[in-house]
Amino acid sequence: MSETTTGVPGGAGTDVLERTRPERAGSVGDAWSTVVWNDPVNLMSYVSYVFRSYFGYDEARARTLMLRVHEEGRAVVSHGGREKIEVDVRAMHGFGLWATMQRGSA
Amino acid sequence: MRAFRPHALGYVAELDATERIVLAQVVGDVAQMLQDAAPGTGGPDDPAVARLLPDASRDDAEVSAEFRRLTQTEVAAGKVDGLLRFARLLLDDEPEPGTRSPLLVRREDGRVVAAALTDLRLVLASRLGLETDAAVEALHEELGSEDDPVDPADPVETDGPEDAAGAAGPGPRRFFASVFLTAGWLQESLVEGMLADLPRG
Repeated sequence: MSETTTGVPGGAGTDVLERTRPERAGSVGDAWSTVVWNDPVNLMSYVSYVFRSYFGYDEARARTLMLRVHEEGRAVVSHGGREKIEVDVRAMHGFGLWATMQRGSA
Repeated sequence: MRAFRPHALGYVAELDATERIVLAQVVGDVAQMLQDAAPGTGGPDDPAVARLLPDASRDDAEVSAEFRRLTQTEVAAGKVDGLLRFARLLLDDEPEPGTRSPLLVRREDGRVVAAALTDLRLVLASRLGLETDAAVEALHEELGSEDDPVDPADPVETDGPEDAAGAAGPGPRRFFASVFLTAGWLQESLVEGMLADLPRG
């Protein structure tokens, strides 16, 4: 991800990561997930914008997921049935994010 | 060129005629690439197009093929539409030589323009071989910081986008690198305004 934003405030500690992890373990329909991968082009601000505007995530959650993509190389950003995840991945591709779908939530 | 700033109707930048024509030309070329890419289930051969229309699964060819069958035509058409809208917006005005005029992106068009700038930058990065965060940072250092955008209309050889592929000389490489950085600089300022307009929370 391209770091042309002016600094990334800290604060994405373990506590925040745990609290905002978008997993809903146990839901029957959540057999698939959307994964967004890091790329060297997309701006950190744009990735946050996509997570906020498309998924409706709040600022803190969008930032946490964006930083996870940037630092860990990937992040699971949504869960659901296959059709729902196909819609999400298609939307991510429309935004120019590098997204894939996978079974499970890891 | 002047970056995007908030405007009552959305976001406004300032570009001169050359900047508009150069950006519109390259944006139009990206749209053409997508239009030329034949739909299929195997994935595009051109790595730049493949990045715009990536595999939906890393390890399941059946999932990727099914996803392409369902979505590729629509995703590509959506991108072409957005790119052409952005190109038309750029060419809506032709300021006098040496002067800039406002480029207004209406609030409802912000998403489309930001996505078009992304697609443009993804294709240029692929052509320039920018595959890592470090490579992009090195390019910034080579050609200027993000606060000091490179003029895409720099008087280097502008031999056409086809020269960006493969064994392009330093002139075309510098030209496309400049467009890449300028598009990123424009996008950053646009997205900053778009983020500010999202509901808080």
